[in-house]
Amino acid sequence: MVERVTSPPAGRRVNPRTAGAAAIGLLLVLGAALGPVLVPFDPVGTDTSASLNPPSWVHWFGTDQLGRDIFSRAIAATQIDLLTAVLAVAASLLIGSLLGALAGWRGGWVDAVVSRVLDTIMAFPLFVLAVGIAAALGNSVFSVVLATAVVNLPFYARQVRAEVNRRRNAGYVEAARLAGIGPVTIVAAHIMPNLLPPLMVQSSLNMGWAILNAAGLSFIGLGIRPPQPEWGIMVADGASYIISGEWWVFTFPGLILMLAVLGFAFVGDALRDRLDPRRA
Amino acid sequence: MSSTDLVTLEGLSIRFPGNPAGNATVDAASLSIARGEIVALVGESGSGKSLIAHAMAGILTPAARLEAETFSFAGLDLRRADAPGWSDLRGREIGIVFQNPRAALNPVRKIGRQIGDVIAEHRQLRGKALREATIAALRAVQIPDADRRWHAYPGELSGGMCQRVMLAIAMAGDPALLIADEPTTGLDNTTQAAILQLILDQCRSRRMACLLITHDLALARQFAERVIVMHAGQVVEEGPTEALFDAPRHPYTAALLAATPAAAASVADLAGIPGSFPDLALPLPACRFAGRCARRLDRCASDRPVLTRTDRQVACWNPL
Amino acid sequence: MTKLLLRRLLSALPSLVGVIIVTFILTRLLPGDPAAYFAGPTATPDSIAQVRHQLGLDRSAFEQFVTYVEQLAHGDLGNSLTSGQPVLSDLVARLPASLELTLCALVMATLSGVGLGVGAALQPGGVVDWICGMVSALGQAMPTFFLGLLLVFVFYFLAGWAPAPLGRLDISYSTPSDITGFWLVDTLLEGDLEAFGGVVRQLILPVVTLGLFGIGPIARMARASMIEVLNSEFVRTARAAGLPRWKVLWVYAFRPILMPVLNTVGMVFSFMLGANVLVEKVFGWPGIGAYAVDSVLASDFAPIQGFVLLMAALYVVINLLIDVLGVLLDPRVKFDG
Repeated sequence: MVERVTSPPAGRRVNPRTAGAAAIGLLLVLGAALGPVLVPFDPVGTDTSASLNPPSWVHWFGTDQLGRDIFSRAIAATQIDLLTAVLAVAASLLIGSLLGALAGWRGGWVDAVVSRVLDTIMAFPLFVLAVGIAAALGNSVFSVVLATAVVNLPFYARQVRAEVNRRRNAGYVEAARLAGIGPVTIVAAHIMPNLLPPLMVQSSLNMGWAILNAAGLSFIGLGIRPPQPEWGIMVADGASYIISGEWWVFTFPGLILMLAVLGFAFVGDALRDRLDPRRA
Repeated sequence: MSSTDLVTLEGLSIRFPGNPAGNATVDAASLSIARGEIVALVGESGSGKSLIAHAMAGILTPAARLEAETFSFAGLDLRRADAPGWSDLRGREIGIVFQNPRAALNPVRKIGRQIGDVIAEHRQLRGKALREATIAALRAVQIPDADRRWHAYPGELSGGMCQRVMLAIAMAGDPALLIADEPTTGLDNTTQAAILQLILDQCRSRRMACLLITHDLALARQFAERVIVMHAGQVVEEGPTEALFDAPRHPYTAALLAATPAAAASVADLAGIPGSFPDLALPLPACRFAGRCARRLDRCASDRPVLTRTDRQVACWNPL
Repeated sequence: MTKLLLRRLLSALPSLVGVIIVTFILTRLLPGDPAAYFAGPTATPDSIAQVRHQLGLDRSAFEQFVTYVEQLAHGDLGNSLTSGQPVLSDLVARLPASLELTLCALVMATLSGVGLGVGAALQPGGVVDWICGMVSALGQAMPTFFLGLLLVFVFYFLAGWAPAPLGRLDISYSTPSDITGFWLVDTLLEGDLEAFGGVVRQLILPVVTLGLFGIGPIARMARASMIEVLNSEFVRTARAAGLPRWKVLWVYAFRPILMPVLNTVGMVFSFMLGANVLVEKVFGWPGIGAYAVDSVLASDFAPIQGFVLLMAALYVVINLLIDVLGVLLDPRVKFDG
């Protein structure tokens, strides 16, 4: 009859997730770094005689329509997908933080302009903007990275801007300013360290999204060009074979993709639990 | 205490299972309220006063464990939360007014509707009759321009007005007991006086008993007929207002009175109470004031003093 | 009240202006020769020059922008090379298909999300809470296009329950005439219940694919808001006043969560406008997403520009509607400005 509703304790669920996150993260990094070297088959070498073979002991994930080993391709794809995502998130983080810090520190018309720019970016549905940028710049890793970076910018910029704005008038900042310390040093040394935890959480969560974005763009033909192995392209290739029953062509790349995204989501959650417990 | 009392508490304890020292937050409290009586329950923050109020109103948090020898309202045994008859009681026979009135009202619902909800529930009125009853309720708590104010949202009203609305909600079922839990916190002095006077008048005219919970001794003195003093979850003294204030018998009551600005001639005379409020997470003496008491005896740490049964009740081995 | 609405309307204008400017920049100031993009891969240098003159690309950036805005004002979004039609008419013809899909997915995600979130809040740590968490996590990580393909494989190929992913309506049914463009409505208006059923069957898998991602954020917001409200002081007052449990839950606890949930719905809608592209490709849906993808593959640039512009404009408009709805639903907005 009388109830007081409380949130379930968050602590209990951290351990399996952190373990999972660590495991997946390790696998991803290993796959990205060593994948192309260690895989049993050549990711781009075709062998039409072995076309569309179901999974077997030889080909763990089966082969695609050109006889390429899907397992090898999926592992090799880790490199490019991860690289794209890391570059994109790093670019977003850096440029976003710079813009945010500038806007938060200077205020006035600088802030107004930057805020309008951010609002405009956010006015576009994310994937749509990515499509637009990628279409304009052509098929390449660069265009995917740029598209993903631009689309993710506002999240970082806003966070940094808010924090810098908040602390701009703090006592110790005033003291530093009076002591003649330049604004760049103040922002970098005094304000940014507070931001690192939430920014790190945001980055790892964004990694998952960046991978999805890259895969999505490639799926519709806007990203990485074949014969480069990339998870999105592989799923796209496999799509045509669903109705003829060769399910392995699209399933495995998709599952690996999902695992990668989940892994980063777990990392992000684990980071958030550790670094910012009140938001857990 | 007499058998015709409205509310009777004997040996009521409220504990939270997580307490490392196993201390009960409210420790075997006993008190009674007679019909139509205005009683003040005073003590510092954390003395357990609000918990007792919530227990009476039936909104005690489910994490809390309540046990008592006696816990009755108008003859109804309230010891179990799902006691039959309690759901009728709640809101109707016992009304409660909280502090922070604006936070205690639904911000997205018009005040007329909020009062109306409660009237409809307890008096089974609908439509036009309901609306008229609501307007009457607004007028009874002295909200001017009741017709128009019916449509107002709590965010549009001042703190004092919100408190009046809360009072109207609490009285909607024509309760026998009104609990006012720190009703004037956050209000300015003039409004505080006005609200309390309103409560007093309503209690008189409706013959409602009132349990006024407050840490403000001056308020208690001004409005209550009888005062109960609590310290760290224990009832330490009880008696008619004037008698208690003029000649306190428990060392804690005396210390409280000495610490209030009204009692001191100047700031320099202000006497603080030595020591600090007992930490419920640590083992405590039987009389929880023993650690800070100048009149402490050896047995105060081991034997719990009982409330002596005279017209002035004191729980102390060495009263003044 | 009207002043507030006007203010909200005005605040949407800078976004629209920004959108127009950005699409302009995207299409005109790109590396390479924009005229070549618009003329197409098979154009001769002469036709490229012609296109350049037509689009005013041989003039200054500012003049180009003015021309661009003028053209937009007249609804001139250029012509599609593949269809030969004006982009605007292509878009208008295809918009209802996409809107029907997106709106259905949005409604599905909102109802499920709110249901799961509120259910989870009422019993933290219970079964519903667990399901809520699982669905959220799954929805976040699952790539939309992969989910679509997976669903097609399982429910069409393996189970045979779902129809072939070949568009809005199986050829065995008669297409309704385009009264609203929303075939769910049109089939009913014509009284063709069989066709209505056919439309519904075709919609199920795409709607689930598109909507699954949205359930997570909405459920999380509903759950968090509900927990917060249930612990609030005014719910305590309602309980203390003896109001019946259903009233406390639905009238007192539920209303205040509508605003935050609605805001989340807006964000989800934005995502869906983007994911639309992927879902339409997987299910052969004749909407503007598929239009954009086909144009990309054909290097047909004007439709892509039109697509980006339209989607962004749609999002701004929907956000405005949500803002307006919020003002109507939640009077607190009036005081916080």
